[in-house]
Amino acid sequence: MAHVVTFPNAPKSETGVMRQPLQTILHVDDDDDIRVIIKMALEIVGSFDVHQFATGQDAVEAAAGVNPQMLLLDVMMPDMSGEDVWHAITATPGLADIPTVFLTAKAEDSFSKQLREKGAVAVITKPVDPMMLGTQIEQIWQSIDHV
Amino acid sequence: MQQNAHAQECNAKGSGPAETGIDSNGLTDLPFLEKVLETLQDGVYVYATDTLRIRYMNAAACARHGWTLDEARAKCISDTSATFDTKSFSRAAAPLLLGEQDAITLELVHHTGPIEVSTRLLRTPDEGDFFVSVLRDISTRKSSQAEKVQTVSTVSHELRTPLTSIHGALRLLKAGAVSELDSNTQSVIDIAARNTDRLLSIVNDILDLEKINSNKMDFSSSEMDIVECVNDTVELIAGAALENDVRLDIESDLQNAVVMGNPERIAQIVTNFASNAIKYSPKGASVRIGISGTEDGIVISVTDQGPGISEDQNRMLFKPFSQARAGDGTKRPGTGLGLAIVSAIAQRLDYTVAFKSEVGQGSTFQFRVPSHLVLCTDSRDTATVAAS
Repeated sequence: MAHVVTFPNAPKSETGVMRQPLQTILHVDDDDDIRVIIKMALEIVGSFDVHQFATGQDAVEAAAGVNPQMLLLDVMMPDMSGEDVWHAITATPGLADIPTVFLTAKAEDSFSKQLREKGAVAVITKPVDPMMLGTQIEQIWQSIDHV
Repeated sequence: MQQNAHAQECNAKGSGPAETGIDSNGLTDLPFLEKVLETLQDGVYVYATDTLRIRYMNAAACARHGWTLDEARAKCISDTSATFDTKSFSRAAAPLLLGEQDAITLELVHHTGPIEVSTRLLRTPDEGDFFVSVLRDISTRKSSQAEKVQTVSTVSHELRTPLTSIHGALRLLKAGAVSELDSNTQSVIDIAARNTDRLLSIVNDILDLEKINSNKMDFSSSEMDIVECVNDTVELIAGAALENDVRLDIESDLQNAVVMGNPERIAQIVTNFASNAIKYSPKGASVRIGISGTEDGIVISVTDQGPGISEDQNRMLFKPFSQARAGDGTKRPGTGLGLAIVSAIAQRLDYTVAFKSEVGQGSTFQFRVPSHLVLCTDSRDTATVAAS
């Protein structure tokens, strides 16, 4: 049911260079249940190492230590929004160019367009299909030109 | 029919409607039925079918335009609105003249607020043919509808978050990602998952409609290939068609067609039409998605071989929270919001939505992207592509 839109910041790589596999993901969502589902989806179905935080503040503090390869952020959160978390983490040395994927409700499609224009590599619409999420994340990772 | 009889009687009363003007004191001198007409709070307009010259307007109609009846009678119906488009009027009114329809009702947004205009045909032996239009202010109706949608939308927002979790949890269970399931457990989970999907789509429909009503939906247009958009959309619903044992055929006489439009909204219309068509199709039937270039623009149509819809149901079709009774009398699951969403989207994008149906023969729903939004088309010999 969920669909992914990846562009224009995720050009297909034409170099064919072997890239580092995606392992570590930092995920922020204020909903406890959603965190459990996403963790299962990405650790059991996919095989990623998922570090989860319920608030943006916690995530920002821990970001440097986790050193994730990708951010997966819920858009609508109290206190710090997904976008706030993104800006704060990308201000961390070494994480400036970290690929960021947003999770957003269907009702916010114009907002997701704005996020892509601002540089998000992808926006995934909820409800997320947990059986597909791992593949989606992997495809997004493959579509990014890695430096 | 009754309305026609009344109007005719009125005309037969001789002297023609009110040379006396519309002073309420003057009403005492008028024949009874004319008094009734003058007292109506709805505006009544009677005008010639050929010249569109106004023959009569009642007091409410005259007051709306600030005209006296004499002034009105020197004008045409096209003078009643600065945005009156004679060409689209003729197109809309054609079914009346052809005897295909008894009445045509349009909802319009006027600068004074939302209005509904119902038009019928009045044939007189000596004075020729007239259109009789009744204009009704529907702002109260609209605002109570909007209030209803707003309330439901607030509730829906609250429903969606927990539903998303339930949906995800069931999906993991169902796929056996948590543990192996025996067949009983599997079928119980299937029921839960199916109904969660249904609830989610209801919630999303309600939120969509509310978003349109409160001007939060994105209608921005850019250059896009509508043929490609329709093909992509049909591909996305091919799975649903397969599940219902329905075949989707795309028939396009255009190779591609660049229009000014919003792909997400167009996809939404096509998805709505096609899912309805699938829902109403008998097993093994096919649904035809047609794309054709015409003089008036590009017409996208979806035709099913379902039970059809009788004419008396057609006014229900595009109203929120209503489902028309199908020709076979069987109710299908749905919110009754899909076509209301389509109609609201089409209105914003300046697309015309139409449908044709015959009980027992199936239905065709279509929308037309008007020619001024079509940038270029590349036609080809009609080819049929089976999508599933």
